Amino acid sequence: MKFVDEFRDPGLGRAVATEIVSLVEPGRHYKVMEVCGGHTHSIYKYGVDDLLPSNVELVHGPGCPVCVIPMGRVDDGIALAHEPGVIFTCFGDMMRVPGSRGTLLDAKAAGADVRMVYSPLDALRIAKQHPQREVVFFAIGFETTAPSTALTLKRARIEGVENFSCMCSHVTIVPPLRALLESPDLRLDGFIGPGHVATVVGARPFEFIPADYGKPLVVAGFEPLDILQSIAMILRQLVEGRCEVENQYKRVVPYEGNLRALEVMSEVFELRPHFEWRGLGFISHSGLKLSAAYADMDAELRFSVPGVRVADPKACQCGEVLKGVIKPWECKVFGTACTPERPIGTCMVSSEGACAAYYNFGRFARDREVV
Amino acid sequence: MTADAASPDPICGSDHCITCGDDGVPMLVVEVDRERGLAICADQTGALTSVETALVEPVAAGDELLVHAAVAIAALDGAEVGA
Repeated sequence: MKFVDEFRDPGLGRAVATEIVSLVEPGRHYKVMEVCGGHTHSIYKYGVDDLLPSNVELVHGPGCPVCVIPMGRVDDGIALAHEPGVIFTCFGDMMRVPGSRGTLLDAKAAGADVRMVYSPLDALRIAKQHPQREVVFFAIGFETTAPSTALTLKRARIEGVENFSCMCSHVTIVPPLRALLESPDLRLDGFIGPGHVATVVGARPFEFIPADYGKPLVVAGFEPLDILQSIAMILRQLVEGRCEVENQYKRVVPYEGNLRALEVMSEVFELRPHFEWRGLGFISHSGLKLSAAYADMDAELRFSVPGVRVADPKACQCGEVLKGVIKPWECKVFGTACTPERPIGTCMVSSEGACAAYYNFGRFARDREVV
Repeated sequence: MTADAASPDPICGSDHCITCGDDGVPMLVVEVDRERGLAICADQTGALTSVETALVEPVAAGDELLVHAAVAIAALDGAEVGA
């Protein structure tokens, strides 16, 4: 298929890998963070890191929207799911994220009507099929997914669907990146920027990274060649003494983003003063809630939610993993008490989570042997 | 993950869940429903999905779109759109 096959060509991949080898300085260790969980998944699915020189290290960032949802927020969702008459809808991986007293899947087993959906539009369709029930959609995701929720809420308003509401846990990408860059224990040489977030917001919002922190960022696609090429572009900037935002994913990402998507988001959402991220704590202006114009569709106002903050499990080191301070296999419970079947931390839940990617693609054994 | 337009409860594939990550799926427009602002689109496997097209209008049968969570977020026309 166009835009897929040519970006998985093994010969081209080896050529870019050779170029990467020619760009690295012997004796220097490079750390490049891929911000996005989708990139983490592709890197391990296609073995991209096996093509890199040993002194180029990939660090996995906080870009998995499931991984950053704190336990208290999961508890709020479970409380809503147990409300009489409620059909609670969410994306698949969200059902397995542990709260303080179990998961949404456990709530479903206990009798709550929890249903997995592919998109907010599916949740709206369920609402139209069950006009006597209240349907709540648990909205998660970065700016890639937020327009989908916004368009669905607009559609619900236009079609007069009054039994549909949204528990909004959408997050924005720039504030956590700024928080990471302010972290004293983080040393990075550059960033692989999130390609599909940039499809919506554009490449411009990332300009603060080279301007304020002196790190190059390359917006990248998700095929193996995209990721290899973006690493080569970062290294070339370092070799040439440049530091800027570049767009490797030009076939999809306009530098200014999708203006219609930004418009609908600004109509339906507004920034929360602060939002809690698992492992990263509270970050100002990093979460979205429904705007005043859509407040009647805000599930947190329509129903009562506990809103109690719950500390992360002590054994779990998702926070350090999300900050790139430790590798997943360095966590004390990785692969033992915490597995994809019985996750303790959210990084082990979603296939985009760094821990699940390591576990599912065999990085457990290899990295243990290296240690 | 793909979703059949006729299926109310699509399921995640075993290795990936596109709604959880910053993911996008190239899809081909098969039929446009202008009244509802939707298009029936086919993914690589031929599975059909109803896709919201408000962010990339106008679309026509035969167009290729990048789809995330049943919303087209970009048109794939082969041209470079970035700066």
